[in-house]
Amino acid sequence: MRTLDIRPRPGRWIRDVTLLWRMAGMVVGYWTAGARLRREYRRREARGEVFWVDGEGPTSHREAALRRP
Amino acid sequence: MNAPAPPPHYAFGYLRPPLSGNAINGLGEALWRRARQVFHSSSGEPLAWKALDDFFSLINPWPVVRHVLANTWQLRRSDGPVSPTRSEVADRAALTAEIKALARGRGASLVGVAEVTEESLYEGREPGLRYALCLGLEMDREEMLQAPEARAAAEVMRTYKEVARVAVEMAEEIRARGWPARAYGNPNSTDILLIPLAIRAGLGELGKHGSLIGAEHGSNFRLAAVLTDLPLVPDAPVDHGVQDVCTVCRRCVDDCPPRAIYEEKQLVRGERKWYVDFDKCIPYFVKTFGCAICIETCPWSEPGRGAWLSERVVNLRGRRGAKMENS
Repeated sequence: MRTLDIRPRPGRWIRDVTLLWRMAGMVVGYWTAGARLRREYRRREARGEVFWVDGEGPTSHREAALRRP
Repeated sequence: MNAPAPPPHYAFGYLRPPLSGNAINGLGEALWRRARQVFHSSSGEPLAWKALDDFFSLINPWPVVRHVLANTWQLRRSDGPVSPTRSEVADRAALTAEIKALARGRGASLVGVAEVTEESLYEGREPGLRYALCLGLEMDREEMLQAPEARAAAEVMRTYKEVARVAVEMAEEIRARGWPARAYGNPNSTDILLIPLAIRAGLGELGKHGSLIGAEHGSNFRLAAVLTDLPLVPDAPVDHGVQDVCTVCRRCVDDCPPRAIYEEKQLVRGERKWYVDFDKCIPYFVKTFGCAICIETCPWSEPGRGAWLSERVVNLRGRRGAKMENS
């Protein structure tokens, strides 16, 4: 979960609502796709296996979370 | 550190390893160039180490994440409209003193001014503002002594959020005076590199562990900045003996679990300076939610120690100087 770079956009209310929407997506993503990822990572860690961050990693999960309407 | 550090063994990795972060950072390059972003993108750009960065984002514990979210929300005010009525500046020095006092009054413990130079801008970034008001805020030492546990990570993000609040408020103050100003309170890569700016602003010196070392708080503080065209008077870099101590001290080198800290200065983009091996540091950083062992184990970070160390170094230099004059 990273701090997003917030560039100025026309219209304060539009900017705020857009940002709130993105942040809501981040929170949902953290508790859904993120929770699954953390579970899987801990499971593999306990078994001595490797979680491949680029093979099955979170990039697509996170991007899906951010795209969520 | 209060707790034993976990070993540098990782249950995560890359199937297709990205380009070495040291190559991206310019380790071994003899020619000067601007820095390139490699990790912690704030704009969602596909940086070379993005997959690990995304993984790091999602494994961070909730107490860290909630500070990240709060910081994201307040940083929406980092830029904005400038008052059409510009307050003219008759005395730059008095104005600079006033702005610094305001920043301290709002909570910053370290304040300095630097001119924005090319070395402090990432490649391809042009904020177009001339001065940087650099801000530092110390972290809670007791919490940070829990490093590399999650409690320390939460304290790091809490401090970033607080120093970013000061930056946002100062940017708003300057814009209300009719001068453009943009707050940079994002710990991720944005337009600027906070450490080179803070060094030029006199907040501290670059230490062996690649972080800033200030006389008062050692490395136990976090940075933010406000870029502006308000005609402030720049400060000068300080020399409080860090280079002398880091040359002989091995504390961070020995205490770094992945052995990422070089003992000697390295050639990085045309300059010899202290450097941390990115490829060794970052996996451990990710595993431990931000590590921070080196900044807390640094002797300068122990409260009250910095002034004592500085005094010793200055005395030693004086004795050496006298000896050379006599011989």
